[in-house]
Amino acid sequence: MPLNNHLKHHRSNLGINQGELGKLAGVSRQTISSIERGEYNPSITLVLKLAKILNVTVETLFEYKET
Amino acid sequence: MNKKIIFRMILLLGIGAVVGFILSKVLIGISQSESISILEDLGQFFIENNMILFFASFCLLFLPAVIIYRKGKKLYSTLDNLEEEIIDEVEAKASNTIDLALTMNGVFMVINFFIFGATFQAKSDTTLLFLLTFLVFTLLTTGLEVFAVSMIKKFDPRIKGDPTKFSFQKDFFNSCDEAEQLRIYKAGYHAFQTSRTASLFFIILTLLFHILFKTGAFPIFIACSVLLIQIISYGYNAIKLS
Repeated sequence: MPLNNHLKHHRSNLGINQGELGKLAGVSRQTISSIERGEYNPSITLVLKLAKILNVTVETLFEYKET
Repeated sequence: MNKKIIFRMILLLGIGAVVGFILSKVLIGISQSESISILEDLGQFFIENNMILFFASFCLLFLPAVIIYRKGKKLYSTLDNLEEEIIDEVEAKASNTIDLALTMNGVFMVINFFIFGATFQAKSDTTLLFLLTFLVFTLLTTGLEVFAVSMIKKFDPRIKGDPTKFSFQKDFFNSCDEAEQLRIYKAGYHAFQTSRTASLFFIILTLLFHILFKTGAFPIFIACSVLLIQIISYGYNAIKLS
């Protein structure tokens, strides 16, 4: 997948687990896990939500990589 | 259109002709033989042993479904105490276990209805027992689904929907997050394609059975109606969503 993410890194910095981040973002723990493993590309709405929760910019959280 | 495609089309036509010829010979042989009585004997066997069939399907499908469901429930209850590294694996296993239990439960429900529909006799010594058994088994299958949904809602409070209400499917779907909804869409599309192929197969099968065994036009009508509903509902929803 061409989307790299640093979600796990920023989530660890905040000191919360996947379930807690999922609750804050209104999604399941599995969805957070799928995003971190690169198996699922979130919608722009979810990306903006996650960036706001983690207090980072979208570009810090996700980067597009040409394959 | 290049030569390769034309050659492939001619080859497929040829294979179709050979298969059709062999199949027609086999079917003519079947229709002229005593195999028709085998079908009647099979039908009679189902009618005479309907209670045994009920309880056999109960033991082979519903009871294992309950055991598997309890196994899945146990796995879900362990999730809170697991470390992040292994929680994905265990949760996937728990989810697949519950899905398997519900699939087996669904198959049992269909077989339950089939046995009831195919072997019901209004005037028989065991009619009342037969009806009660069917009703009890139907309630049990519904009960397992309700328990499974309640269990999932307990572990994931985001999930909404009451399985005893008509609006359950809509409420459940709307409470799923975007990744879960995407999974449902993908699974639904694959299921639609599979059921469309199966419907075409059943139309051909019921047509052949009508020609050979005089089963009547009603089965063909039902098979065609199913395909018609699939095509129209897909078209309607595609237009609605565009």
